[in-house]
Amino acid sequence: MTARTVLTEGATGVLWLVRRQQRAFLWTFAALVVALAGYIVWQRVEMVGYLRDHGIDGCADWRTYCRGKRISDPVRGSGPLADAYFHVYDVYRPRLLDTGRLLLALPVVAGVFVGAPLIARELESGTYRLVWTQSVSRTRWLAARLALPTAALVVGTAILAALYTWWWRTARAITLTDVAWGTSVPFDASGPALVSLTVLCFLLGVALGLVIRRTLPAMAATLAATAGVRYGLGVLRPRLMPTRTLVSAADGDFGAIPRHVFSTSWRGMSNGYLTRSGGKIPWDRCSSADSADATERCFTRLGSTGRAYEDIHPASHFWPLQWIEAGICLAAALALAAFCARWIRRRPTGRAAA
Amino acid sequence: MSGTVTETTSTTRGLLWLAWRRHRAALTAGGALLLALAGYVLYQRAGMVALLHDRNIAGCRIWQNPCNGMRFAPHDAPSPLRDAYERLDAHRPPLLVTGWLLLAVPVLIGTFVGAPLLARELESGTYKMVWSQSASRTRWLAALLGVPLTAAVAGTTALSALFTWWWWPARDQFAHLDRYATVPFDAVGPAAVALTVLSFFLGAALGLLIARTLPAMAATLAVTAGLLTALGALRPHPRDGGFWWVQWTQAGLCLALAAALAAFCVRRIRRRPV
Amino acid sequence: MTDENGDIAGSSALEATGLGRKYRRGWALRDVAFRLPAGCVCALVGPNGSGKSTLLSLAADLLAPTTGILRIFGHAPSAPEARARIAFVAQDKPLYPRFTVADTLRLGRELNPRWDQRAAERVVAEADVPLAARVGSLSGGQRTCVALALALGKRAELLLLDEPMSDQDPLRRRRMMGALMAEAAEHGTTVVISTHVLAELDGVCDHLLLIGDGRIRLAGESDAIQSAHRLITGARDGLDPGAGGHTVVERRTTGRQLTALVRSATAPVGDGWIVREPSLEDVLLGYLRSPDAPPLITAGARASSRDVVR
Repeated sequence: MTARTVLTEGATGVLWLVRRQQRAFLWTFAALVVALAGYIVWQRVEMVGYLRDHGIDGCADWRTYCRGKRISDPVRGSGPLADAYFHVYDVYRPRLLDTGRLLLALPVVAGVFVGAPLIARELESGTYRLVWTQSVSRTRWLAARLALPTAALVVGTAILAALYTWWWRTARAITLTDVAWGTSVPFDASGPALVSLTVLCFLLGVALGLVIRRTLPAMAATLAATAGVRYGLGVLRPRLMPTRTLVSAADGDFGAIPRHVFSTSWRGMSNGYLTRSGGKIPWDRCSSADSADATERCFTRLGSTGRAYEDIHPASHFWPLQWIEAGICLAAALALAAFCARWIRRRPTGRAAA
Repeated sequence: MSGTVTETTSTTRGLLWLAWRRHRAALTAGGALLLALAGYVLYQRAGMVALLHDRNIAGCRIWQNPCNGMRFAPHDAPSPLRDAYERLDAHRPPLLVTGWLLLAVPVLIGTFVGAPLLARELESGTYKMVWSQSASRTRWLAALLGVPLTAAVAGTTALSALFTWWWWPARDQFAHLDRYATVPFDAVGPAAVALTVLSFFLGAALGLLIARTLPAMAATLAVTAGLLTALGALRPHPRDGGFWWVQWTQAGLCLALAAALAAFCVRRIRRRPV
Repeated sequence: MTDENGDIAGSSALEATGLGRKYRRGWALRDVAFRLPAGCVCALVGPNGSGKSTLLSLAADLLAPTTGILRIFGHAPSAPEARARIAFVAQDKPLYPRFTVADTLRLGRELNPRWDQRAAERVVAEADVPLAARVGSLSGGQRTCVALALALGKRAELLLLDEPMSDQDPLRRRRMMGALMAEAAEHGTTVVISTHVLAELDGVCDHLLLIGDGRIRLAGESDAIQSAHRLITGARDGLDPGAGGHTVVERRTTGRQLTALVRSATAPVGDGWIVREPSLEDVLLGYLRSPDAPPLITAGARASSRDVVR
């Protein structure tokens, strides 16, 4: 019976403790979220206003006509419509991409500045002996210690990711078709990917701090590890779903495929020529040829026909890929949390002076 | 007690030893990273220079047609010049990514080396132990900051020289690579080294002011990132020539600011009662 | 105080059998077996590095034993029942430096269901530590008071204090010790205080645990240990202090005189010796100076070795 009281009463108490310890982080993070959210809303409202004022809202720049008016080629053309597209390209594109890069820094900062010191500091300064000898169990303490920052990070990044997705998709519907949507900006800065990546990096920091037991080395290791996670996800992402293959006409012309497919897809997964039997010869098979003639000879030797192919992720893959990546990150985060819980239970530290 | 009294001159050596002992792990890790990056730059540059030379496209802006007596084949058909440009284009991402990586060096040195140096001493109270030894506080500060600073300057000088050496032959080849943009500008030449010195002292000064490691590190990260953004926005972009003039001016400004921060640190350490 | 299981475990606060802890550099504790009855005040004595802190950390579940078992009121140290019943003050008094004293006491209140705010505040007031002060700005002695207040406020049944008075001035040491003992007596708390200066605990301890080199050297009631020894003095030549089957703990010669500490409860030592009862300090010093002397564990401190786990 005593045990039961201990467990229930300790739960609210330990939340008070972690709230007290994370006060500075919670306020700083809240201020950061409010500032960034305000900036995104402001920019999007301003951008949409500009699009409306210039009559190009809802008109993708790869179309030929917008509300009956001809869009001159936005890259080389001139005229009021082309100028409007240029303005979006010059003014909002860098802001959109820079904001995306800033949001991408959130998971790294969460891992390095919030996750890594969380337990490492307690272990380094010896205060773990203070909390671990109170009536609350270590596991419960760890759960509270992890839950509060995780909740704050999830809420904050979810707000930011939702707002960014909202801004990004409006902009991408008009222009910016050269930015592959599967690269880390915008992919990791929007949707559930940002939220789950932040949680993963945070727990990576916690786990490294727990194992390394010293704040600064743990922070440095977390920085390296989060960079590794980002790189790994970048490599993994195109492979998370089967790609769709676009095939050209017999003379290598893709003209039969509607333009919007190219403009809305994540392109460049693989391309090259098809053999007579439909097999793919990727372009890089012949990359060592040192002249155009040699390249052509190389493809002929490999049995290429004139029919070209390109593997793409169509626009409909965006949300499934987001959820798959989020699932992977959250599973890894969960595994790390379980590891921390096991480590903290099984390994009372070996640090006390003999 | 009966041992020889240590000469004052050797306290400097003692302080240097203390500094080396404290930063051994960081210095070793930094050295290893430097070597790896140097190897990568050597490898990449050799490949790029060989391409420029073998395909005879040195001095050609990418997609410039005709160039050096070669021209594209009609109707987008494959041609040696187009092929050479395509291969050259593949060298752009590694160059840019390395540039961004080098840009992170000053930020990381400020955050992970500069900021904790004094903040940790103040937070843990170890400064009391050191200040009661016979070396003067200014000497202690000089030795504490001197060793990591020297290492950081030596490291960034080597990195910036390597990167400049890689970028220079290609400076005009990549049409969309504005040489006054943050990358490459802040990652090459004296500007890169001066930025390291500045962010190091920025970290040290913030550490001294805030006196707590983590907040000092976070503040240094934010301030250096802001500084880089501001520099990128405020820097003049002369149409032609003047690149090195802008480089040295920016380096001079950064070093002057760093010197002011160093003076601030010395004054504050002298005045602060134990 | 009886345990839920109703067995004799309730009568011992701390019991160790075959307890050992190995670090990378070697054994810090080896083959330790003893028991401390509930309600006793025990001095844990030993030179620096003898294993005192390791033993206390094992009891506080901050370390896991390499061999053997330790029971706190019959429970494993990791059991919630044990955690709620002990309070531990580590040697370096870890506290959150950014917390105020009031925050620190609130920590105790939030994390312990049986918190006694008045007792904790009394200890803090005793040392004139302002509640609004940040822990980081306190002196070493004041921090110790806050750590002790936290331990006392927990209303633990077993207090584990690792060199609690080492940074206190003699006046405050006396006052803190008085307050501590009054609390302990009032609630029947078992107290284990480690020290390497026995004088610090002069007259307050009824039990003694001497550790040397990771092993138990002496364990039991102070009175029993003291009265089990005799200090004998005689001429240096011709006399054998071990004659009659007494265990000689230590012998020292000064000039032509021989002084020896022998273990002898009742039997006469023989002719030619001046026999007197040693002080507790004499006994401890004797054992500390002779690492090879056989250990003495009194009947009351012997562990019931029915379940030795190795």
